[in-house]
Amino acid sequence: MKHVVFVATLFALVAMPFAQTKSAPCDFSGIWHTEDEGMILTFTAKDSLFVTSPSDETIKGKGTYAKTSDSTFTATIKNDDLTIKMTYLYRWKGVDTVSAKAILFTINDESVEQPQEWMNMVRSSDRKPKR
Amino acid sequence: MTQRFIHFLISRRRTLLAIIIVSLLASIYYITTIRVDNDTLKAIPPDIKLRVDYEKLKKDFPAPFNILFLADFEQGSLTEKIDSLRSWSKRFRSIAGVGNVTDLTTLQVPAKSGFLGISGRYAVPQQEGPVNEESVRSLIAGNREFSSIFISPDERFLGMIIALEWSADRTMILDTLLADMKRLDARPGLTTYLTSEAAVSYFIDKAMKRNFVILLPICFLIIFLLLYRVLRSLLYTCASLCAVALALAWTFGLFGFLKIPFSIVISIVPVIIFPIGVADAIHLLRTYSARRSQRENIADALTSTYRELLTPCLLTSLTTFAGFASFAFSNISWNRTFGLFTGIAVLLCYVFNITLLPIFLSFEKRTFTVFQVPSHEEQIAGRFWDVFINFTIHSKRWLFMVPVLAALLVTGFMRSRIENNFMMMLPEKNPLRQSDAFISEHFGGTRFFSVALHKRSGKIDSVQDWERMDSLVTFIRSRHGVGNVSSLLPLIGSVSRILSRHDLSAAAVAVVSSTGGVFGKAFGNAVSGFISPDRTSTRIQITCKSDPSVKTLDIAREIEAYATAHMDGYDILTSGPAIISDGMSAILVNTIIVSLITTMIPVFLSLLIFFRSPRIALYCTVPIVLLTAFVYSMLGLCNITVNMITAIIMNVCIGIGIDYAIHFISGYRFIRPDLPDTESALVMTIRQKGPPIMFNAVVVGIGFCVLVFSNFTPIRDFGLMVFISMFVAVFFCMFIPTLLINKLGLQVRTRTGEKA
Repeated sequence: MKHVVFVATLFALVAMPFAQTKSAPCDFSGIWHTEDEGMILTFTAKDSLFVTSPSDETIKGKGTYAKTSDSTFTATIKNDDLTIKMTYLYRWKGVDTVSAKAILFTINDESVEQPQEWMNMVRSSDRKPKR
Repeated sequence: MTQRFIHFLISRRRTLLAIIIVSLLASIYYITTIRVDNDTLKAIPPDIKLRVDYEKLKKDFPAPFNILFLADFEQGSLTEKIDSLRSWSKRFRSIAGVGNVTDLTTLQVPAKSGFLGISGRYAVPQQEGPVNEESVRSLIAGNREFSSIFISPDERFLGMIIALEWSADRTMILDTLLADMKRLDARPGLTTYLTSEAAVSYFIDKAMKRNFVILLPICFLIIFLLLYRVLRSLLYTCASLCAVALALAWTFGLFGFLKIPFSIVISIVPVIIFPIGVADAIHLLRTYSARRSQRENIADALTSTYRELLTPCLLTSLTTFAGFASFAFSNISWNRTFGLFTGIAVLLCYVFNITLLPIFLSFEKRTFTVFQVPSHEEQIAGRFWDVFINFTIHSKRWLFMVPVLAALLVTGFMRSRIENNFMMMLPEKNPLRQSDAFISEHFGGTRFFSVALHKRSGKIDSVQDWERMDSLVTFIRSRHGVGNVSSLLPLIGSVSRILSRHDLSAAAVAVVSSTGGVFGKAFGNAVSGFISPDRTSTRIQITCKSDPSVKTLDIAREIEAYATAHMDGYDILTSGPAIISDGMSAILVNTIIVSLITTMIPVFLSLLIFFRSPRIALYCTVPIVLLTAFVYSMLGLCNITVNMITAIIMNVCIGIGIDYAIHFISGYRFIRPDLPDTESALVMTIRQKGPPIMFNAVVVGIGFCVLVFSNFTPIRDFGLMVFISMFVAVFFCMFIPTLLINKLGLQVRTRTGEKA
């Protein structure tokens, strides 16, 4: 029994750092930029999402997001009478890079076709996207 | 009274001259404050429906002035053309006042990509250098509805839209662009074109300045030489020209004082006033010189001249004033201002002629010589009047003239047409006119108007709304003369096909009509021109072919009728430059009719009061009515369109022509008592009054003839027509009264008071 406790403690101690390094990138909080469009996506607090663009001051979107599993998240952008709901499949490609692919899009609750390609979001600290 | 007036003028001449000089300086000051404004839209009254509708449309869909720049590449690869566009775009953006430049290199088309599922994709890669031509071609071909204005299918013609800021100095920008275009056109295989609503005013400004700088001095010189030829005295010539110059200075000083904008129509006032203004001086000075030749002193000669001519000169000035001032009732501000101020200038000419001439003549030397021997011209003229007398009085050959004249009138009336498109009034070689022809040929036309649809309740945001809009656009496209129709539908269709593979989906309508700024500037700009910020109104822009047979007003009425029948719940408004241009025709016809009526009535009443004889008033008026009809038919026969400027011709002819009839009939009344019968009195009247009337017509005609050197077609037509009309006026005003008096008679009291 002592051996069992010892092995479990040892496994836990060994596994803990790995578990911590794996769970840290799962947090979207912060500022991201999309590589192709140069959009700034700001994930704040628990569920708030803001969409802006450094090259186009007229782009202003706000909404919410939620991780639905370890590989999917949903985002909802609502501007006046337009509501876009998006479900994304995502993969971490490093500490500061996430690759995402839309799997479901609705506009005002009407299901529409979504882009099929994977897009990269890169975490940005200076809010300026690298293009 | 007359004697005291002359004495006063001569004795106070230095004080009066000082007052005149001060008033001249004040006028010059106000002349420097005159503001030039050739915006053709401003000629239309602000309260009429056409203008109200256009202002409403501009309020709902505000747009700055745009310039469409086009390049015709005879050769070169797509990459080379794109490189050229990039460099021109950079150059044009650097011009002060240019807000934005849109072309193929900045064109973004909707694409299924990005975080929000739909984004704008540049048609041409943004980095400089060689482009993948096939990829660009494919993207352009797939988005023809957005790219057609920027590149033609064969890639030969490339377009660019240069948006100006509201505060931009348009003249400076157009000067710079035209200089750049001249430089570009020097390249082999490249021709550039430019068109804009703002450019019409620019070219009218240019034509006007040219008229002022070149034509006015030429007119002045010609009048000077003609006056000197007839008066044969530098003092007399300067005196009469000074009176006219002062009248003009006062008139334009008043213009500046009242802050009235100066337009192309006003620019011809000096050229009109010089020949008209000297007419009184010619009569006064010729009579004065005749008195002086009879050894009368200056004051006595002036007094007797004024006693004889002051009232007839006043009458002719008043009738000329009536001719011009009748435009005061016009709805067109340019014509209204022109008429009023030309009328004022005519009256001022009279005032300055009668006040300045004695002052100038008081400086005349005591000795006086006149040429009594008839000149060569007078001998030739004498033979001409023999022929005229024979034709009018002694033969019936004039009867052959009647059917010819009737045929000319009918043909001319049937051929006459009204044109208010100022673009078409520019010379054919004008860059704007050439661009217009080019754009019409390749891009479906240059006559634009819009249909604005306002939904009475709620926003235009349902599929049903846009389905009805689509039906309306299909109807508009099917109309004869419609070259192109732009609306929000192509964008909705494109987005819809991306989102749902359907031509029209609720999602696409929601995305396009969304007021939130989710999709960026390029998307917002594309949308804002076609749907109002509150999404309750949408605009459909229609481009009509530049063919005079295409009547945009008729097309607009058909659209309104369709929309009323099929678009329940919507208010419809059709307006735009093409509609205003076509609608102006009705206003112009109204202006002509009203001005003719308001000229004829005061002229007839003045004649009635002055001669105290309805018959004389009628004998003077009949030739003028015929002259008006003849001039109008001449416009048709010479293929000259009736427009804001040529509409003035009739009033000029009435205003000047009536003087000839007045002088002729006054002469007959004066001569008749001394002769035994009507026929000999008429012969004598023709011989005595014919030469000065003809000379007057020559001076006025040649003065106006200067305008044929204008580079603005309507002014050229105006000058030519007045030149011809003056001689027709002489003929009618002498022939018809002669005929009427000869056939119907005219009672004149003899010196003893008996009726002859």
